Amino acid sequence: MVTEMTKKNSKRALSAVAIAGLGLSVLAIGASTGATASPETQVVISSATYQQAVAAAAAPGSPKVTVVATGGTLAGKATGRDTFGSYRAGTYLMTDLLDQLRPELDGVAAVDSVQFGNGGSSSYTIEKYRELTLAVEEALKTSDGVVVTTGTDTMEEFAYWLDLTVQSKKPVVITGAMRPWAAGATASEQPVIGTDGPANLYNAVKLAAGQQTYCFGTVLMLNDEIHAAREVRKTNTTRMDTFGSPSNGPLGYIDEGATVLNHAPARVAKCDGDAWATPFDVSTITPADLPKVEIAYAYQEASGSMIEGLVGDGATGIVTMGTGAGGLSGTMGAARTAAVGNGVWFVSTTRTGTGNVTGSGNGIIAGGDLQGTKARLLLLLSRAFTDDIAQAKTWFTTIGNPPATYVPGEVVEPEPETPEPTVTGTSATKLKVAKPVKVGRKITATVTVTGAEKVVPTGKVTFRINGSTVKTVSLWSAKKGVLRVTLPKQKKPGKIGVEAYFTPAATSTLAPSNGITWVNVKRR
Amino acid sequence: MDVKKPRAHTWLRKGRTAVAAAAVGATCAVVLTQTGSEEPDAGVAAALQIESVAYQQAVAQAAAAPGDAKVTVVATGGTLAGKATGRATYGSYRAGTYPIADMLDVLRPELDALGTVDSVQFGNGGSGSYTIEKYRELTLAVEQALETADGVVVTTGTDTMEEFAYWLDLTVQSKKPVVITGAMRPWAAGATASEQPVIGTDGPANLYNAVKLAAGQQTYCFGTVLMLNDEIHTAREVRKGNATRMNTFETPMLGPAGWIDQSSTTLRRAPARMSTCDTDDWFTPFDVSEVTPAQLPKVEIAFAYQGASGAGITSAVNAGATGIVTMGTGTGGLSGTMGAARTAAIGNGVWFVSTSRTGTGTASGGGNGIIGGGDLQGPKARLLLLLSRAFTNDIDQAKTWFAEIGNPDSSDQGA
Repeated sequence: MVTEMTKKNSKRALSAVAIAGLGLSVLAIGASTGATASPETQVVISSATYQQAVAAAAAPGSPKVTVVATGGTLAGKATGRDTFGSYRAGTYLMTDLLDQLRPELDGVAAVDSVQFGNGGSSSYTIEKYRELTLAVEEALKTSDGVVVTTGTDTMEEFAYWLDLTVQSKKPVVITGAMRPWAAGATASEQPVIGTDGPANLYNAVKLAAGQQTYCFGTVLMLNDEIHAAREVRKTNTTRMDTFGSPSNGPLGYIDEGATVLNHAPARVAKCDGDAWATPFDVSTITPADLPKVEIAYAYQEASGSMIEGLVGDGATGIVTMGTGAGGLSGTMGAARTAAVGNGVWFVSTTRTGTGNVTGSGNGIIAGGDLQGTKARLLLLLSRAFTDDIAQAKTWFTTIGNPPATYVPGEVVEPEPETPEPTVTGTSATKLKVAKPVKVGRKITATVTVTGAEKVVPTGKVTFRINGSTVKTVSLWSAKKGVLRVTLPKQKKPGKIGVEAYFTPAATSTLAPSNGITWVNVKRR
Repeated sequence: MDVKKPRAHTWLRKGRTAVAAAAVGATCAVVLTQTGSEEPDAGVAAALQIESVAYQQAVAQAAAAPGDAKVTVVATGGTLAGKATGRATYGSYRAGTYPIADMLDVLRPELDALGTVDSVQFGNGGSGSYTIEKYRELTLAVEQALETADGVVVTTGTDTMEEFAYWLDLTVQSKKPVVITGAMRPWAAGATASEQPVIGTDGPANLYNAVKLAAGQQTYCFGTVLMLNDEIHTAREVRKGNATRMNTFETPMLGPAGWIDQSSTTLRRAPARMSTCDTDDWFTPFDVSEVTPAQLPKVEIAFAYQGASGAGITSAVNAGATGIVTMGTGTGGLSGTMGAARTAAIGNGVWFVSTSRTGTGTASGGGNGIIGGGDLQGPKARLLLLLSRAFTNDIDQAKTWFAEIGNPDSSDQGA
């Protein structure tokens, strides 16, 4: 059993995680192929936190799983038992669907549900996406894992959004169906012939309960396959095997009692630290903070009018899905250049579907091999959380195209049960420099935010000069809470008032002194 | 029979009893296999299963007199003609640098055994640098070359090669083979095409194989096919599936139509239009010699995603677009705002085609102002819509073309 792993074993496991981190074809987790659903998992991922989660799931006692339902074909009511294409999506209630899976479902986990909505995937706005993240985080406060059901049309966008925003390491599994559930007045009557919904839902709950994707972020479970949110896309309009991870293949699969994971996403390597969480804690922003970010698709002699129209409509970021390694037509390229001049941020991706795009430059962020629709969500969140394009470029590398060669420094021992962190900061924890400082045109400001013991504080630091906000930076990745930023050039050097505000993330625990202290403000 | 007789065709399919087997062959049967031989230049000893008389004649003629074929290479540039900054440099190069005549010389004397090969330097740039007006001229250049040549090879950059291919497939008014090719790695790093070949460049073999395929006539009546990485793909299906890999071109779901293994040219499938090889029904209505550049309309693409804005569609219409292809989610879904923008544009007479961003599968839809795109890919549907708007003012005619030309049904045996 993993909990009895010796120190020596831990060291051996460490070298194994380096391999798993590479994301190559090496077996990361293998499960016994017995008919029992018991996840007697042979863990090769060395993270202590991961081991603890999987071991706990294997222990006696039922894991708790919450299904957050948004609708889709899964909840669809067909016009007949043999009707796969004509149905009303988002009709049946999740509680009724889950009841169809009982009593077998009860053997997997204690399952409850939240009816977040009941519509097709396209009916959700980005504002609703933010609320969905909060609903998932709320459910994860008490549940061991969450299953999110959505329509499949934009499921890959739902999945990557949740992957980027949910601040919990617990498993989030997204699922749905390609064929509607039933044709009857209720979910229990006239099941559609060959519907994939019930098995998808059952397997998704099984995966969330088993904890095998703890620290994986959001994964997609459909057609017996498990896919990483970053890689997966819908590749066919109607087939049941529509979801694919084009370059790398699925992470794994569920065959009855065997849950097999052959790959792990790169972020698993950070499972034991706070660096695992992304900076995109949407509880720290309001719906109004969510910017308009759009996509422009390239083709032979594509017009620049799409880009112009989107910018005119208020878009502050645009992802181009270029030909080959990001190519645009002349007219489209000219429209991009003009928009960059107006402060619009661009991300360059490829319409081919796989392969790297490396071109970046003034106002243009290289998308790597992130798909266009995914890059758009990352750009949207980047614009919401920073005004600094250099920071956004960093995020596109570290979060959008995470290096899977990351190897953690050491295996840490499992920490004892910790209570949920409490918020001890206020939304306006604030410190202002005592006197105005004399600075040059270039200013570097350094602040320290001190967390509670052994806790790296997370949140946003807002810098203001003479009363105007000049920069907002997330503190999620700052080492030991020290933040050094270069503030915008000043037109007139001289005495100015510099302020810094710290807005802690909801789960951040601050030191008793609460707070933020200046290190210095200096000219550069 | 290569070139259409004065217009007498009708778009109703007819006279296809003789080619019924070929039509079925489009789905699964072995269409044509030339057995491999130790002899590199063995003649085309093809076991023909396509019953078309015209097809049999073309292939038999090529097989009877190996090396007698005349092939013209119409060159537009691309990575194939690219000059790299070093022999080991795959990504840093200037596309469209070496003239095609020089590159063909590098393939000699072996190339001469395939046939008489000459070339037309239509242009020398990246694929993205060509306008739709240039596309029209390219079609005319290919047709001009086919008046005397047995087959044409067109070289282009790979970024929009699938669009070049489908445009030629839709417009070229000759049944003779048109083979499009290019390269993912530049040709050389020297001052001339014969110096410092790039290590592992795929260009020379692609160009050589493309000439071989055009000379061999095995894709007579196939329309335009793409030859790259030893694989033969049909223009309607092929797409670039990776930004950089050499096996980037793929036909999702169905796989390639065939391949060339040295002297063995194998074709496993034929496009549905093969079934009209013996009649004038084979030709498309899009004879671009009948339209002027000014008659080529603006037709654009709008890509769908979560909460997508309608501003792109509105702006494209204001800029003069008369047709827009939506690449929707799933079977063609649009966000509410994008759908509203479409509805408003339809009110202003804009034609829409509904396709899927997923890449494969049939898009549903079709209605007032909206044409169902079937499983035609977005960039391809855009070219067919552009030509449809250029050749008719009747959206019902366009819908018919999308069904019969855009989504030809190879199981349809006709009357």
